[in-house]
Amino acid sequence: MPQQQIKFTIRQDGTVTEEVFGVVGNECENITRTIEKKLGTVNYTEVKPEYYNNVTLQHNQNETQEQTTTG
Amino acid sequence: MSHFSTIKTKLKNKPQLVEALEMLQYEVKEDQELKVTGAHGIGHETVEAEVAIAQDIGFRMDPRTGEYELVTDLETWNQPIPVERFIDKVNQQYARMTIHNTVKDMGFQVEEEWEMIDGSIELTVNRWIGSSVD
Repeated sequence: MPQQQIKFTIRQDGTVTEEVFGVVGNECENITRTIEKKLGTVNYTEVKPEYYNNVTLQHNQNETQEQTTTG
Repeated sequence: MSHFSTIKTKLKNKPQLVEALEMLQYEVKEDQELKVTGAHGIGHETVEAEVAIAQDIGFRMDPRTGEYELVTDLETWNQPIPVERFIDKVNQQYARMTIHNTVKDMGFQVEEEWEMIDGSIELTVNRWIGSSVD
């Protein structure tokens, strides 16, 4: 069962940086859109290469060391 | 990793603003009339504030933007931190509370939360796909 993870960095002035792991494509945007709507204005969004991956390629993420699919 | 965003926090939600101020150890009163104290306050008008933390410090909603803004008298500002720092702290705490409440509703659980040396907060949340929560 794969794990989804979001890492937030909330800076001293309330600016939030958000990184989403373990989610590909549109689902990723769906997950965070709610949060972004409630928080404020999205200044910048960078789409990672995984956005274009097929869901079945999810295990190939190389940047997320904690991305185990056990459990 | 498939998504990376930077978001500027805006104070739009009153209950979360109240919660954030309470987390910062302020005693919050709602719907107060703020008064300017001191000699120079003579002749100053009073201001309605939906959320107040002192007789002369509060927040009111700007109907044009839908955002809460700080209303205070800078001359009598007597908080231990400068007003700019106060606004930053409120924004940071508001963002933290908003994220906590939102991800909980979405079935995420907090894995870890750290306050970093630079004063930022790092919050990591997880959820398992296929579990009973959405």
